Amino acid sequence: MASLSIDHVVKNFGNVEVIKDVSLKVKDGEFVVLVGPSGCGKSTLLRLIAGLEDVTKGDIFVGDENVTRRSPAQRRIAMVFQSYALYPHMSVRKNLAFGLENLRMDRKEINDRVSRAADMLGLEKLLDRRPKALSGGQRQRVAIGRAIVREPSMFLFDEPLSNLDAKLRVQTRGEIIKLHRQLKSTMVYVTHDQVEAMTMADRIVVMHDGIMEQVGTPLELFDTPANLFVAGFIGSPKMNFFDATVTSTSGGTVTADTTGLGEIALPIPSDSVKDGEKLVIGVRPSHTEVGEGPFRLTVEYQESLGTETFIYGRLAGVEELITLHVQHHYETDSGVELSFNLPAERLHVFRASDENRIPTTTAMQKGASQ
Amino acid sequence: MSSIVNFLSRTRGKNGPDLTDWLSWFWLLVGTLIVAIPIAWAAVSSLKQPSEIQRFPPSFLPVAPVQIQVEGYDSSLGLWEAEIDGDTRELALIRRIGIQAQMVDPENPGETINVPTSAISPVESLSIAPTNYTDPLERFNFLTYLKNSVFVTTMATILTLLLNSMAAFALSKYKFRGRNAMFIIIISTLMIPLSVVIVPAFLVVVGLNMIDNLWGVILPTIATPTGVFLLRQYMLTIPDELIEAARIDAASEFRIFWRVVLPLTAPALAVLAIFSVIWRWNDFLWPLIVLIRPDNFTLQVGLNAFQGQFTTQWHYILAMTMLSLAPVTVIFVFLQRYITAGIANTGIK
Repeated sequence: MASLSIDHVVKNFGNVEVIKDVSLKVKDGEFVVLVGPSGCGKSTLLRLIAGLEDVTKGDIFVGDENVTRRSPAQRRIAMVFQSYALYPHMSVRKNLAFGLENLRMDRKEINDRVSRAADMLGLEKLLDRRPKALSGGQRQRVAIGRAIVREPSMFLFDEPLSNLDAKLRVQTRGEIIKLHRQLKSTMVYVTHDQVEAMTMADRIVVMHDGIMEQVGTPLELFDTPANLFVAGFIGSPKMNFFDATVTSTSGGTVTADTTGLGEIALPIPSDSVKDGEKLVIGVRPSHTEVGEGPFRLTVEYQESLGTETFIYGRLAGVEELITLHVQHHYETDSGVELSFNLPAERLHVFRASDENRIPTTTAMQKGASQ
Repeated sequence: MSSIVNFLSRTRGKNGPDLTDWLSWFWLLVGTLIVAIPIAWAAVSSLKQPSEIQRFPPSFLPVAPVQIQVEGYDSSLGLWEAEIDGDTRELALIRRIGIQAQMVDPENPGETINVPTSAISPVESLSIAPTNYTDPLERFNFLTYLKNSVFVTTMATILTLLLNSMAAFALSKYKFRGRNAMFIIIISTLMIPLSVVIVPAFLVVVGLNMIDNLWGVILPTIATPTGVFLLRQYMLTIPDELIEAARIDAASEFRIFWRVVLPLTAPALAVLAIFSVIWRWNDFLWPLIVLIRPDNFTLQVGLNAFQGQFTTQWHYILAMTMLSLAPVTVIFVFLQRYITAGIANTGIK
């Protein structure tokens, strides 16, 4: 058990700066998910924590100990790899015991720990098989078992579910969450799948181009994305964005001329913007209200999932497709013109200049997290 | 057994063999004969009497003319088949006079029979000469040479596998400055034949005081660029994540090499082991240069003793060659299943 602290870490590969001055504190027992598009540096950050790569600048602490120059073994961490990296020439039992043998633990203790881990993960019957004779899900469990037997101070997961089929992925996700509750150890988990991030994490770290865009609980990220990137990355389908220009800040309300929507009122304090300032307004498809309202959408196509419907269409004069969401089955056709409304308190407002969020007025923010 | 029959009788054509099948059978048959006939010939000839080996036209099987003792004659006489008035009789030849052969019936030694030489032909029977094998074993220190050869081959192969796999591990799994340059230098030594470096290598062995010592034969041969190349290419196919997993599992670098990388390199190691055994076992020139006392000779150098300046004792050479083939063959039989896998995976064809 240990906390993790990353202090101004920089990592260069040759001339390329892959991690740009990242700092992060993970509390003891916390489940933190690093998420981001491929190439954002999330796996590299995990490998830096593991000690598989050397940091270029900065320090990494496990507990109070500075482990920056320590070997992976000395950091007392365990890691589950994307490819599982099971030793193909060893039986499951040997795979689990290998790390303990390296620590020169006595035979009895090794056997105890192996059988405990096997018991926990339901691997008892597979102990004498080679990895080749296991299914993907079983291999995954052996890889997790190999991490557990070491009783490490921290678990690192590098996209561990990406090689599993959809059903198994959901199941294993549940198992990892259960494991975290049982072991109460610190876990850092890397994924590019935002559903995994949203369902598993105590806190999510959104990474992009080697920097941390935002750190927060899943709902914080969903309700108050710090910038355009996070707003676009978290949530599926993607948030709708509209370009806008502030037209008036008088009388305590801000109005803006919005492409395709016309003049609308924004839920932001009037002193936070200037007249004529460029903004980007975002709204999630699930927060749109189809049926009545001042806005018109020409339907292009729809995706009906049975329980809910996504409608894709265009606003007059806007090139990009807009996504609307209906909570139930909804019959419509391409070319049909739909009315819809955007509730003002559900709007996210970003400054176009730095792409950062403009905090909404507090009353409206509260209502947003349902 | 039935699986072998199935394997051999597979055809490409769906209804019986087609042209491709005939061609491949033909090609494989010719190839097998080209490879197998010389060995079979040597094997059969190693059982022949010395005089039979040099006979022309040669016979395939080890046969010799039959000699018999006939009453009234001091030395043994050759047995011939003679055709007399349409009858074929077996007679012993006493002497030839011009085109007449004086013969005697072994049953009735008193009477001599004159037969034209054109009507007689020698009676031959299978005659195996085990002395080709037993003589050298008794007189020719075969066991000493064998012991030396086995020692040199075993030690050289073990050290070759160990040293080359360590080099290959470093060259394939560690990133360091000059790694590729070093690899290219190692590979480029393939272009330098032994004959070029034989004098400097000899001087080094002299300097190390290893002349007339088996270690002087073993040590200079253990580092081979072929081995490094073969193993490195194979090790490149082992995923780095395995090594990282082992590092996280607190394995030392040597333990990673010994417990993870080496077992996974087994097919390539088997290939190199076969190569190394064949090279070291058949090595002639270098042991000939380094070894001086016959006590230290390896088999191949020892065999050379049968080949004098004026005479060559082919029957002994053939017999001992057959014996010296045996260990390599046995090694090959045990390791051959790795060869295809090993060679296919290293990308060397």
